[in-house]
Formats: sequence, structure tokens, C-alpha cells
Amino acid sequence: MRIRRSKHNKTTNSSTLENQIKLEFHNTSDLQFKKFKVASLDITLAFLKDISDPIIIQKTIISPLLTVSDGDNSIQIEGLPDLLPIASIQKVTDYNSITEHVMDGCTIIIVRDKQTQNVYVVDTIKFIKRTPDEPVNEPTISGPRDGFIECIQDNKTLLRMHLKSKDLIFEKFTLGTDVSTYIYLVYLRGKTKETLIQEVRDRVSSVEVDYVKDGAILAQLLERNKFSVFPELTSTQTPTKVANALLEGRVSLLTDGSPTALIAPTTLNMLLQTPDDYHFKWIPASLIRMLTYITAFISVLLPATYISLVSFQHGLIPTSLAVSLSKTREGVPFPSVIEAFLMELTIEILREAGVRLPKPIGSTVSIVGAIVIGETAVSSGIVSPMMVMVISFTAICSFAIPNYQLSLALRTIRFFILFSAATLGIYGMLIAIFIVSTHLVKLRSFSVPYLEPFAPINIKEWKDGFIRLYFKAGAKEDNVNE
Amino acid sequence: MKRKHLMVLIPLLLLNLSACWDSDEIEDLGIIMAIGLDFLDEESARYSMTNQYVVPNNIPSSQTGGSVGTPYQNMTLNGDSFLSIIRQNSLESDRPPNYTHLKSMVVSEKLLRNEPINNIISFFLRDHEFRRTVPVFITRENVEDILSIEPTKEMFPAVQIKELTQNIDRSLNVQDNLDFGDLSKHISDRSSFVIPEVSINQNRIRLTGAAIISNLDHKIAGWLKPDEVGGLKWIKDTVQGGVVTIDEEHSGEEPVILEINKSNTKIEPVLKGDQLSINLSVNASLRLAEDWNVERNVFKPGWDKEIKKNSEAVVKESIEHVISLAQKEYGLDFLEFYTWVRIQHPDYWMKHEKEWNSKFSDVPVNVDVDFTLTGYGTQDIN
Repeated sequence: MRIRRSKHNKTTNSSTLENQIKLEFHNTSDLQFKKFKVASLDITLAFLKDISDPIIIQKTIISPLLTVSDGDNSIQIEGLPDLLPIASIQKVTDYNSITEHVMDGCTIIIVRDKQTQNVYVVDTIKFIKRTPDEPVNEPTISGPRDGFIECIQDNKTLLRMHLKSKDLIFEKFTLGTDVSTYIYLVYLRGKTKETLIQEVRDRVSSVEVDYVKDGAILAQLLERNKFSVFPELTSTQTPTKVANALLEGRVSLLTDGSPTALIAPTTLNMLLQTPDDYHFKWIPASLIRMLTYITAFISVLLPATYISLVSFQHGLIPTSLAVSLSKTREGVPFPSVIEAFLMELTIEILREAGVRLPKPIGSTVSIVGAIVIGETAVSSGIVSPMMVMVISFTAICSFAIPNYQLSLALRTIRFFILFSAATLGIYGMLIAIFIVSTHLVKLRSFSVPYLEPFAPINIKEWKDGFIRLYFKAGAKEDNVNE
Repeated sequence: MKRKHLMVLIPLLLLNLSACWDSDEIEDLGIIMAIGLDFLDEESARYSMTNQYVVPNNIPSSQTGGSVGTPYQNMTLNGDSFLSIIRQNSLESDRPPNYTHLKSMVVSEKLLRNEPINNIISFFLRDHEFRRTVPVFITRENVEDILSIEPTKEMFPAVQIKELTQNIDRSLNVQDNLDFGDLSKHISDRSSFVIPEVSINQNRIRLTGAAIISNLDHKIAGWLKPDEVGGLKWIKDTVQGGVVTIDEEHSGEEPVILEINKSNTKIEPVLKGDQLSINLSVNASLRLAEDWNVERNVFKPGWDKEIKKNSEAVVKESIEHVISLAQKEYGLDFLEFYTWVRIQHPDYWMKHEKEWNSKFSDVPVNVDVDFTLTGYGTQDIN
């Protein structure tokens, strides 16, 4: 919008164009212009030297043009692209996009003879990137070990490599009014419902912000339930997960400069799965799947159950356990509720400390936390050993949840249920569970029920729910849009 | 918006249904493992009640090693009603008694001679803290003494008493637990029943038969000796194991001991006109366990004939003895024949329900015992 171009006079003075570019970039020092003559043509190259690769510019633009002999007058302005050994050279007719191209690391070629002026754009971007290593927080046992990186071009490459299909579609969006960020909407045509794609398109294009910093922030901008703790979009850094999701008919969003890919719609079932589930034979894989579900339940309910039993429904504890519990709690100064909150607080602090610290010191924190604090807290009688066991087991269970965002959500829910249990015992716990499950049943991620396939019930889909049934060769999936 | 308000309101309404909810830390409770009831009949107090508290500090743990004292404390207090005695506990014990972990209840003979059992039990059935699974025992000893006997393998006398009846599959003489639930069922059925009896034998707790509670006055009518309990179990089809001993008296030879594998008793009331008779047939499979007649050759076909005949006679005799006790001596149907009559001949039962005790005494009972000997063990020394 910014470079004004006269509609009447196509042969705008090129120096004006150059000046306009200069003006647009506020005369920044890394904006470079190079002028030279080839035969009868005046050529000006414009590029940002920090993100354009000078070697590419030199090899693909300057040296081929300079080898053209001076006397060769057969070169026409329209024939210039044929001289350049580059796959992607585009003619720019809309001068408004020039700034955008320059920011992308492209080189603008302004060619001028006496009458006309043509503008071409050549991709000469210089990448600074790391290798697509295995993501730290999503380790896998047997699957592919590549991970997304900060360079969206490479992320797209990774996806193309994982899904060799002509149906794999990338749709580009540009978000942000101040700083623009490219978002790619990825889906498999034919596998994905058209309504879903349209909904994601609508939501993405309705985002109006100054800038989008990261995929995780985009996820929050796209969410509709602001007060829910459950993630509406799954974020992942492994191409395998995205590829699997695309094959299931979901869509994915890639954000430029972010290794986080988003998957929508998200269901609770999906958050509790790992790609590893599919790499093992179905019976052990199903057992692992069930274990994950049990783990999720334990990580939410165990402390609350313990509190309810110890301070409300004593009669439900087996007698011998009740007797030994009352012995171990003898002399503990706090009621079990306070004790539980103290311990939970300690664990959360330890966990945060472990995340923030550099790796070599991180292990020290866990040693100090687990052994020194835990052990001495028990032996000095501040907390009962049973409570330490309950809380640490809960923490371990929450580590075993495959998705970190879900694990965070469940942590929050755990505190809510713990608080309810502390006020009303098992009855309070049930009320809290009732509230949480009402919320979950009502929750939708991109028009898909969050608890699918459990609520609304769809037994057919349970083959990939609590269990993971065997694969059947020859089973053809229906096209969703038919 | 209205819907949203409603969503918040509905869970809040649930808070009204919380009933008694206040929290009580487990270490602040006086967990009661056993109660013993006794009759005093003194001027000051009519009853005495012993509560067996858990003393958590004295529970031996793996860390501290040897125990410091007994892990339980018996508190015997007197009063005119049970609830008032329980409340009196608060004068001496800082931890309020909690009965959700009650393991056994021991009632003295003296109390049951003076008070009908339905009066005694009514409070315990009514109160919400008492579970219907608490077993009741009767004793001719002092109740406090029974609850003070140091158990050797368990931690609490209460558990020891209760767990003794776990041996019903080991011995014919162990009468199965009678818990609060059964008791209330018998009382509302207006039937006679038996309560297992415990006593002290050389400073150990021992199961010694059972007491018969009459359905007329709900008091003790008589006692069953341990071997009579065996006969009762054959009749009530509660035999789960045990031994049958053929002594010299029955066989004229060295004693033979058989172990019961499986047993099934069928009771069939037969009505001819207005004349009721009962066919009782026992089918059981047994195994030769101990044989003092080493000359016996078990590899010869028909080796078991003699044993079978003798063992059947032994069991039949004990069954008939218990039936005659019930019919002739006490005139009380603690054998529970009435359930079969009620089920199979409801018309007859409706007519004679009121006079069942006297009818029962005259009902002819045909006892038929049929045993199968399934083996002679791993090895025979011949």
C-alpha cells in the first residue's frame, strides 16, 4: 500500500522507485543498492544485506549478467530472466509488494531501458538455522527423531518429506499489522472436512494484532474458551505428530520463526496419545494407552482422595492402613489439608526451579528437593511419610502425561479438586469432578467435542481410544467431503 | 447469560446436600476396635461397656524396632445406657471414639440372660457409625478379661477374635460369624439362631461352640458344644471343610480320620395333607487323611466301603443329635428349617407361622447321609 505508483505513467522514474524503497526502510544501513549496465540496460539490485545471501546474489545474478558482452544489443528487457540461472524469478507488477519481498530476503532487480522499466524479484534468502533435532520435551522411543525448527521453510520441507502426497496443501496467511508473520495452514485435501478448513481460515484471518510472536501465542489467539484450562489446539514440535494428525483429517498451523506447530481440532483422547503408541504391537500399545489414562486420573485425583479419606471418610480406609496412618500422622503439626498444600507447593517450586536452571545444575535441585527436603521433612515430623509418598507419586504421574499443556491443565484441575475435597471430603470431590466433567463435555475445539469419542459416544472410534486396536490392511477410509 | 447463571447455581445447590461433613483428622480419632458389653445390675449403673481403643504410638514399626507398650487400651465404664457410656468416654479420653473400624463385639452371657438381644442391639443398628458387618460373640467369661488377652499373632484382641472364625474351612467346630446384619435379619424374621461363643483357654482366646438365642424372649436358651456346632453346620449346609473322625467306638478298629473336600446339604420339606416331614440329605466327598490301621490295602477295590459306612454313621449320629436337641430339648428352630418350609409350602407356613415352634418339635426328620471317598492321599505306605 505504501509505494504509490502512477497508473497513467508506467515508466515511472526508477530513481524515484529506489528512493521510495529507501524511504520505506527509513534509510536503514543494511539496505543496499547495486547499479550496473548490461548492454543497453540499466540494472539496479536492491536487497537487505543482512538476510540476503551475497554469494547467491553474486553467483546467480551479477556474474551471469556481467559475462554478457557489451556489444550484444539483442538483449531485450523482457529477456532478462532467461539470462539468470535461477529457478524462481518473478516479475513484479504490483509495486506494493516490493517491501515485503525485500523483508523476505529477496533481491529486487530493477531493469530499465529507455522506454520501459521492469521489476523482478529473486529469492536470495540467507538462513540461520539449527538442525532439525529431536525436540527436548517430546522424546520418542522408536519414532522418527526429527523436530521442527525456527525456519518455516524447513518445517514445510519436513512435512513434505513425511507426507509425500499431492493432496498436501499449504495456505499462506500474513498476520500482524506492525510486524508481519507468515502462518501456513496445512491440510490434506480430501481427508479434511471443508467446514473445518473454512473455520480455521476464518479464525486465522480474523486475528487482528500488532504482531504474533510464536505458535503458542497464536494458539491462544485462536482459542474461543478463554476461561478453560484445557488447550484447544495441540502444540507439538514433531513432524510425525503433525503428519499423523493431518492423516486423521485435522489441520495444522505453522508459524514463521516458531518450532511449534499447532494441530486443530484437539480432543482429550488425542492429547493422551503418543506416536509411540502406533509403533508397537497393539496389545502392549493398548496397555500403555490404558496406563496413560490411569496416570491422568491418578495425577488429578490422588491427593484429593487421600485428603478425603484421612480427614473425612476414615471408615473407607482398610483398618490396618487406618491404624498405621494414624500412627504416622501422630505428631504432625498441620492438618492434612495444609500438609498437602505445602507439599504440592514445594513440588511445584522444585519443578519450576528445575525448568529454569541450566541442565547440569537442574539435577542438583532435584537431589536437594527429593532427598534433603523430603527426607528431613519427614524425619523432623513436619509432614507424614504417607503424604510425601502421595504427593511425589502424583508428581511422577503428571510427568508421565505425554502432552505438557495437558499436564499443566491437569495440575490446575488437581488443585481445584484438592480444595473441594478439603472442604467437603469425597462429596466435595464429586462435586468438583461433576463441574470439571460438565465443562469438558461442553467444551468444543473447532466445533469438535473435546471428549470425542467418549462423549458423544462413538463406539466405532474406540478402536483408538482407551485401547489401540490392530491395523487392518485394505481398510479404505472414506472421503469426508463426499 | 441466564443459562450461565444457572450453570453456576446448580453445583452450588449440591452444597446443601452435604449432610454432616466436618473434617476430623485421622490421628485425632479414637479408633475403637472392639466393644464388650456386660451386665452389672448395681444401684449406680445397670451396664458396663468396654471400649478397645487403638493407641497409635505403641504400634511397633519397622524403624523404631520393639514396641513400647500394648497398642490398645481397654476402657471399661458403667452406665444405664450404651450411648451415655460412650459419651462418658469423653471424660477420660481426649480422642472421640470412632466406631467405623469396629472389628468385633463381645456380649456377656449375663447380659443376654437379663436383657433381650433386640434391646441390646437396637442402638448399634440405629447408629450410623456401626457397620452391619461387625461380628457378635458371646462369652461366659468376664468381657473385659476376654478383650485384655494379649494376642500372639495379631496386634489387637479384637482382630484375633474376629479372625478366628476365618477357620471355618479348617474345622467343623468353628461356627461362622454372626454379624449385625444377620442379627437384625434374624430378629425381624422372629427366628431362633446361634451366636458363636468365645472363652479363655490357658490365657488364649478360644472358640467354644455357640449359644442358642430363643425367638420367644430373645434371650439365651442354651448352649452348643463345639462338636454340636459341627452337626449344626452339616444341617445348615455351611460345611466348608474339616475332619470326620471314626473312632474305635464306631468301627471296632483303629481310628480313621477323613478330611471333607466338598459338602452339600439339601433340605426338602414334604407335605402330605397337613402332615409335614423333612428330608435332609447330605452329600459330601471326603479324602482319607489319617489312617491308624496300616494294614489296610487301598489298592484293593472296595477298600473304602467300610470307611464310607462308618463315616456316614458318625455324621448321621451327630446330625440327629443336634436335631433332637433342637426339637426335644429346646423346642427352638435354630436349624432354620422354617426358611425351607416358607419357600416351598407358603400356604402351610401362613397357617402355622404363629405356632411353628411347637409344630417344629414334632416334625419327623429323615436324615440321609451319602459320602464319596475320593482318594487316599499322595502315598499309601503299603
